[in-house]
Amino acid sequence: MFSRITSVLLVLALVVAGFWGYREHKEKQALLLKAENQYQRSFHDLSDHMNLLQDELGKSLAVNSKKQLTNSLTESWRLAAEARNDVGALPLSLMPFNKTMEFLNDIGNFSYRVSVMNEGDKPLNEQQWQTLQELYKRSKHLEGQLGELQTAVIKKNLRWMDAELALTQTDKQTDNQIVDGFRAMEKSIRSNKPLQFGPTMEGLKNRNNVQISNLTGNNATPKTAEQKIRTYLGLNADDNVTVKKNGKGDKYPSYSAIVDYANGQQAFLTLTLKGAHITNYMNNRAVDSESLDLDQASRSAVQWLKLHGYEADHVVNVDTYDHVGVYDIVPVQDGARIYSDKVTVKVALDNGKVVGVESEDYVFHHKKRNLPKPKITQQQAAIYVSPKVKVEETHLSLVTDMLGRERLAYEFVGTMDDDTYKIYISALDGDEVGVEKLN
Amino acid sequence: MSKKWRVLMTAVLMVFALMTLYAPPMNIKSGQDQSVFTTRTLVRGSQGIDVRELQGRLKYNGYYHGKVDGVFGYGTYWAVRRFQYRFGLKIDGVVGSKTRQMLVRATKGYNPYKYGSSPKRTSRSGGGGGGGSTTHTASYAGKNITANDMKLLANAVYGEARGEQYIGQVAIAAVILNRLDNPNFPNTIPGIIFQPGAFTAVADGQIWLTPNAQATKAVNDAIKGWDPSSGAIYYFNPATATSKWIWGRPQIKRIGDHIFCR
Repeated sequence: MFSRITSVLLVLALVVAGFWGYREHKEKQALLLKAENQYQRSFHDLSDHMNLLQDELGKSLAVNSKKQLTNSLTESWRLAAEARNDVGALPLSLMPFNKTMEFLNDIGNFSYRVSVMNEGDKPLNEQQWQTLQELYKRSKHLEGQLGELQTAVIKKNLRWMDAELALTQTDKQTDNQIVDGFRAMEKSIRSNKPLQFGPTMEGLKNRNNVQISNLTGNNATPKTAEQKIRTYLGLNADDNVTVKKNGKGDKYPSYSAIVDYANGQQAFLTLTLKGAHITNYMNNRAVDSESLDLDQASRSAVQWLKLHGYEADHVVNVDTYDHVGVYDIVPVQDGARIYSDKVTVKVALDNGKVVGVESEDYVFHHKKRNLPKPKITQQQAAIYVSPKVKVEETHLSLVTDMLGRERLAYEFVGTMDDDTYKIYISALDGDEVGVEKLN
Repeated sequence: MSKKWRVLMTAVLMVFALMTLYAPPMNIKSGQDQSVFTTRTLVRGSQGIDVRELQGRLKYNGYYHGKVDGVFGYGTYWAVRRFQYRFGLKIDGVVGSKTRQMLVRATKGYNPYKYGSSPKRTSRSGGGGGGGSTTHTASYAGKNITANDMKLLANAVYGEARGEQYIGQVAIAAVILNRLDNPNFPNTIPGIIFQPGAFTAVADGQIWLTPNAQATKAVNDAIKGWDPSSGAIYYFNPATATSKWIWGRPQIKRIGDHIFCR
């Protein structure tokens, strides 16, 4: 009797569990399919965009009028950005795909430079034509590979979820067709010779590189670096300093250092190998109260810089969060603010002590410069600012432009409606150097 | 009781209810001029309830048109300068004791509740000082970063490295920002964070944990330019990294559990 009830219940439970399991399974399948479809969409979009992109590049080669050229190249610029976006939505971050991304970026930058920034109505010059043709050839090749892969994906029902799985298990050699296809694309782009883009594009690419030759001094030993830190922070003998050389992936050869204070606080620093110049310093002390205001703290920041031999004393920006004041401070030479040599200083608002310095720009750029004399007056430069902008402040300044070149410029700070803009106009030829919207 | 009584009682109750509903604002309106002005000097960049009061008062007499948000930005700066110009003060955009006193005198009928400068949040610390980095946006390498992107960054930092020491968290925020200017990565912060396979915290949902104040601070420091990773664009945990490729990247340094590389 009892056993019969139990068995009935058991069967019932089994049926319920089975039904539940089946529903769970279906739901999971639906979700997987949804994710898979998103990848598929990005992949097929990428193929489409590449196809259109090489069409447009081809068109721009076929014409000789500036008008059609601008149309085609502006379209290429947009399509290259779209293609980059598509790649960003695919699970390719676990494999080397950077050459392909760089290639797409080059197409975008080049077509933007030539179509939008090119002055006048000139058609392409010989070198630009050569570069464009090479870009066309390579993108056509890439598009061909992508198209083949696309055909295989559709024909054999290849799934991106499998590709993603294959990428996360790289211990063994994968035989996933999608992954192999993308590897092949990257390989063929890698084997290409570097393209000639001209000085503008090279500048754009190298603008974030630093010049080690700008540094003074000889290569420092860890011992010298430690000594430098001890004087910089005014450490006591019982504060411990650990200096370690950074690996070869570094932007510039450098040391990392950790200071363990006797009272348990810690500070972290980075120093250049050449000359042991401190490029950043950060103390991790928690600041939880305020007794100074931002104005008082700014004076202690400037004072601190002076004491430590920095020639920067002009506060250009103030920010605050978590009871610290953060100041962007620049040197002034011949009446011009030298933005290229900016130092950022963080001051704790409880005791006015400096708890952080970021001075990479200063270390790599600061020197006594031979500033050119402005060739146009402030009034002449103001003509290049929109008449809708009400100019409130003007300064002479030295700024680094998009291509990493230092330019002497008039800086107009003005308002339009309720927003504030900063407009840099070259003091030599009235060229617009840059515009910023300020908060 | 008769029906009449019941109707009367309901009416009385309703009047009472209405009165209690309206009472609090009436009480407040009759209150004193509750100044929250502190003695600290306010400059561009200051934040707090005293900045709210400054904005409220400048709005009251027509010098300021923006939002009363407690953040001393450019809008407030120009308003202060216009005020200083009109009242014959030194025009420096800095609110010291002279400007403050003049402003209080010039805005006698000022009511903090009408102009939105009332201290709604009581948790703000130390008499008008501080105030978290809740609403303010920032700019990184000439690009403006919205408050919501900063929150996403804090989420990513917390999800990826909440067990790490502070410097390691700043380094992770810096890696995400370094990718912003790198052609190999998407060029928006959400694009970088949600790139499939880029961050484990995104894949396993830990990014949706509520970040603590320290993660937010790390993001702020990274945006201001501190980069303890020395220009890294990748990092991995050597104990759990399965990808062989990531080991092959040129390494820079190790901070806590993470190796940073290029």
